[in-house]
Amino acid sequence: MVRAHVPAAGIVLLAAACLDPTAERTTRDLEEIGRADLGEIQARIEPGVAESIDRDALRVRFRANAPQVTLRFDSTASAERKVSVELVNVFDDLQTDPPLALQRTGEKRLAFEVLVPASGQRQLTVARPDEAEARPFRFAWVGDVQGGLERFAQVRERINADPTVEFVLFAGDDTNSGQPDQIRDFLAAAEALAVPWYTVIGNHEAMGDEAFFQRAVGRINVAFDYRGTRFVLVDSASGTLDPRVHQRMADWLGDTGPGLRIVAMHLPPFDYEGLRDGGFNSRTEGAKVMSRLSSGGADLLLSGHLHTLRFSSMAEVPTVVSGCGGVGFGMRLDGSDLHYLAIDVDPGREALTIGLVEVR
Amino acid sequence: MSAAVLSLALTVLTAAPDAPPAPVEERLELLPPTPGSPLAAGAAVLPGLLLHGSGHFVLGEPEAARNLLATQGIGVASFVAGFALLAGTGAANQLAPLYVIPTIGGLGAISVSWLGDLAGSIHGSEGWPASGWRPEAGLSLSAGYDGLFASKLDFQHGMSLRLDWRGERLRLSPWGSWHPQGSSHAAAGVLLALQLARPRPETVTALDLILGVAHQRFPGDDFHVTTGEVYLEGRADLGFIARSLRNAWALARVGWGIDAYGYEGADATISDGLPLLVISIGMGLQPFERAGFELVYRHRKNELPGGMMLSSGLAGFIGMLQLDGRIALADGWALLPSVRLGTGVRTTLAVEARLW
Repeated sequence: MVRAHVPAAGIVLLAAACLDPTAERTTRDLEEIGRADLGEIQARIEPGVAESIDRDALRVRFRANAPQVTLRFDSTASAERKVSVELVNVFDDLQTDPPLALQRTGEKRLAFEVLVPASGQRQLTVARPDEAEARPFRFAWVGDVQGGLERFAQVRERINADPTVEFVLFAGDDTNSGQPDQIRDFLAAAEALAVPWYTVIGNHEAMGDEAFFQRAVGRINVAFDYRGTRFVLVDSASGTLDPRVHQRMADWLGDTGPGLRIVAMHLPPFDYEGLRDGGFNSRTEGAKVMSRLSSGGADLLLSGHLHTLRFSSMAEVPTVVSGCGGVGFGMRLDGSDLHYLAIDVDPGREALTIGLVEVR
Repeated sequence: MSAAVLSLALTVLTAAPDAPPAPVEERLELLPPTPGSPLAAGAAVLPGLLLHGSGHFVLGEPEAARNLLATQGIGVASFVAGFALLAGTGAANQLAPLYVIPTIGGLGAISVSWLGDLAGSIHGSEGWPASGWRPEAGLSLSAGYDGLFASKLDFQHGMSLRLDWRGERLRLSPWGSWHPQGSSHAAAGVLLALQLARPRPETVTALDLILGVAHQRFPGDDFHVTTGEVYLEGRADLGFIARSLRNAWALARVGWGIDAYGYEGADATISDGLPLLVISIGMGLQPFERAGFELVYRHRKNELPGGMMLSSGLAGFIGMLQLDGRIALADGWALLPSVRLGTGVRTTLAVEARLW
């Protein structure tokens, strides 16, 4: 009769082993992504990822995960070394500080060389010349693509036709099941955007080869300031935040900095319509996140995951779920279909205007 | 899956063409009991995982095997129908109850038929000792340890307290819990149950209407939540499926509720409301004279520790798994261990004293 307990105990152990799927990818995000081992020189981009490394030639290609990035080189070499750097997914008018000669190598790509002193360190920032200036701008929010690349191509065409869009944020679920070939296909499709793009990770990436996604696309927990606005992108792909991400998000929101704050994550803390309950795994954790966003002065929370378009407010934080950026498996009955959001930001007035762009 | 639906299905499946048969349980009583066997238990696993009732078939209980298979069939049909509606509507919120209830209910019936097959194959057809979950009038008090681990919430050790008064048809249970560590958590609530039906008083079979109110405070995270809910709770003795499952039972809850959140970090208290679909399915049995357990899947994420994180593909969709035990000690005393698996693990160990 004791054996009758075995199935229940098995279920309990199985579930216990799967309690926290976020830990490994958060560690990877914080400790691996963005680093390049060039032998005698350790290079790092923040935030970004090393796409390719040639140790012999001291050459590295970095993908930027924000409009402004910091590069750092630590050398143990006995003599000065010259490192060739290519930056992809960047604005065409970038400048480095301290200034370096930049060469444009293609759309949203530039290259330069950095002299790293012997047994020393070299650090530089790369940003647009007027990036710190608080002035109005527009960015686009694209919901779940989820493998619907033909439909996304229509979205991309509309975005590329709008010269006022300065960059694009993807909501995650960029692929159908997070397999490497799907991630490559998505990267190719997103690269055809005329402007830089950044993304949060979705549960469809997390259930696939999440390590490949992270190594190909880059950081999944990022904060950056752009034209007087703070953007905070965090990984909620497993319906929860890793404790380290909870802390980082609180720090990013508690930090002094721009008054206007926009937070993005794939799964919303709550399914604002309730009965379907497609938000975080724990409503209590969802409330904890909303409490932090509220006390941290968040002005907008952007999410995807639910293939719909829903404007709401929780804890006095305006929230938008917009999850139809290409996915064919869309919501029925609520009228939402393929769309993206054109979001106008006016840091001077601390105002946000969200425009719905329906793509038919 | 309600007992009524199962009874109806079984009546159809087991009906003889020329004469009305005696009730299943009466006919089964006439057969000699069959002891459990390792072979039957093995058959309950393979091919029993796919073909529920295989264990009972090997055990020499063909009627029980057929009933278990029918229960699995009903479960699969319900699950497929619910999931098809979910997929077909793109998980439309407006229709959530119409696809969530059959999907979860179907999984419940499938789980009951498999676990029932396995348990009966191991134990034999003798049935189980009478359950400690049978409602009995009286007043009891339980108090004990309440811990939360591996959660994203910063508190661990705590305590809980519950008073349970049960009359002829009414039950009133005020309760509270307190976790003083870390960001701390305190909760209190009351549950009022009205017994609507209890057709077989010697078993756990009963249908209750339950009203619940709970208030939880999270002072370290600057929010609180008040939950109100109303639901039907039914337990059905599974003896009508197989005599090996007499005194084992299935559990189902279905209803509606609302969470009202309040945030205290901003200039003023802010309140938001979120509706809640209450669904639970489970199964319990009493393997020993003095000890029993109930395993329940609770499709809710608003209680600690929240829903499970089994796979990122199912992120945000799954509720919690709860295993409650009841071990009778001396007369009027019982030990109540409980484990909830969700976003972390919540464990409680309480001692219950029957006051009268």
